[in-house]
Amino acid sequence: MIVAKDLVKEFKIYQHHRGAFGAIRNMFSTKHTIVRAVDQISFQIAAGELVGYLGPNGAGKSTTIKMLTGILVPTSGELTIGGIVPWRERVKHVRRMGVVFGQRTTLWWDLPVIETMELLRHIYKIPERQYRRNMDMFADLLGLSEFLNIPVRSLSLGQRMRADLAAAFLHDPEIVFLDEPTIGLDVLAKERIRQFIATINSEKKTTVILTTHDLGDVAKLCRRVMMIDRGKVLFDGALAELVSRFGGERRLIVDFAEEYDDLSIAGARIVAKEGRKVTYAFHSNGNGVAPLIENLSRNYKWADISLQDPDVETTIRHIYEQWEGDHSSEYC
Amino acid sequence: MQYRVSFLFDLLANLFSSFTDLAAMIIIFTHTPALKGWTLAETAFLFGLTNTSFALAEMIGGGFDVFQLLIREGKFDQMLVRPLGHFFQVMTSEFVLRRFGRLTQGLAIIVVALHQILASETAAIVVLLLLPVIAGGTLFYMALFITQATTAIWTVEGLEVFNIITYGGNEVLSHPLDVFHPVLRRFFTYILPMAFINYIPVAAIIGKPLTAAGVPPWTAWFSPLFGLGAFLLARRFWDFGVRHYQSTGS
Repeated sequence: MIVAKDLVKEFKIYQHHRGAFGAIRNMFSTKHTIVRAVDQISFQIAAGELVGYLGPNGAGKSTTIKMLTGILVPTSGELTIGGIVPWRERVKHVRRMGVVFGQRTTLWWDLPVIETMELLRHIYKIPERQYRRNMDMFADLLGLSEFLNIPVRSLSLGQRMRADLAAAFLHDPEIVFLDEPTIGLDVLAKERIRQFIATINSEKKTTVILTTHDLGDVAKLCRRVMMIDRGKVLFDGALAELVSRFGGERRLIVDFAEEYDDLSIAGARIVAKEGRKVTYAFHSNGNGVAPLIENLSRNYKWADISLQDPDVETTIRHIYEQWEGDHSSEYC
Repeated sequence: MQYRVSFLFDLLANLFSSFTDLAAMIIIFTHTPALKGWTLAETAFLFGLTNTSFALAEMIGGGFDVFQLLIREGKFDQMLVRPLGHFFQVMTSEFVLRRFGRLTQGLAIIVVALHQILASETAAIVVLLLLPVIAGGTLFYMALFITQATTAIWTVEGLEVFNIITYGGNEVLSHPLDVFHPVLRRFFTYILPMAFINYIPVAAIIGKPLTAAGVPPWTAWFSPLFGLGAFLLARRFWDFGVRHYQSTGS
């Protein structure tokens, strides 16, 4: 469905002049710096996939999405979506595509939701029956009927996001881009939206590319994850693989019954210590936790032990932190 | 029509601000019966025509006037993900009805001035001849708005400088070419041929010598083509600009 090869997007940032004639000098100034927001990324996404596209702020996520949606023209590289180059045949491309930008609505501010949907029906030339069927489905899944007659500008954030989602899926697009669709929402609203995305993806086989900072979204929805930082793809694969590769360490939290001077045990390292409560991190290379507990019991008296498996959230936070560290050392 | 009172005041302010220009013209003519051979009625005719075109262009192409905001608020991004032409969407994104003030004033001046200049039987034919002139002028102003809007894709600050061209252009077209310095006359005839938009056809219609421009009267027939040409050029510049659009952060 999507084939991207060595995709690059550079931005020119012009230098600003200040002072009385600054504006005029700016017009003729050619001094600029080039920022590479997306740096030779390549990937393929098959029809019907639901891919999580992750990365810290400024990593190049939005720029990639804007190229995929035909808003931006890449500086170099190749990109085809269903055989079409998005910016060359923009109208043809966007006709079979849907998009939600969580930060700002794609709807008409002053129109009631129902009129917005009617307008979209005309713009996308949706047959009456398909329109009815989808509207019924969305009323059911998203609870649209509660606010159909309210203008978009008066909707709550959660309602607006639901309306935006309905609008993006109304014309049965082959591919949908969701840029932070759960940003700023409460737990219940998030859950509802995740449910909706999962349902549509499985029922209509819509390809979905999801960017998010909410790792709950990823854990719930995505089998495949792409991680990007500073314009480069750093990981592309199954979510389970990401967790085992980057966050493979399990944690063992031990409450000791007595004070000890030396608490180090073989095969684990101490990551936190709080009074008698000590947290160890370890890789369970096939043996599981048994040897560690045996070792502990032999040398110490303990009151309580609990075990923590790595979850998506800590794994990804861990990766981000690691990258942060790498960057700062590069700058030194 | 969400804010009626605001609209009414906008309309009045609009009417008043262009009325002051007319008042200034009338004051000049209280001191002299004619300016380089042009009477008050003839000059006002020119003024009415160009203002009608300007008002029409502002009404039709109002979206280009607010294009900078469309970029900043991310609305242009939204337009680009819709299966409709971006040019059409931007153009229709704002219909500036308050410019109706300038339009009615322009039309009223045309009627009154024509009545002064010509006998009523020829006036009817002249009105028909005026339609392509107004259309050409409208296209020309549209071209200026489009060019200015396209510039906003690269720079935000340069736009104020551009107002010199847009509003300055309106000023130039409001006066007979004869009042300008010979160098400027050549400039507006051959380099930036704005004289063809308004001055040359009007002079030809009401039978003024075209000595200031130094072109034969038959060239007036091509006047609407200059507006169309400018519009088509601006349209191509627009497409070029959209290809280089950088969008805003996230």
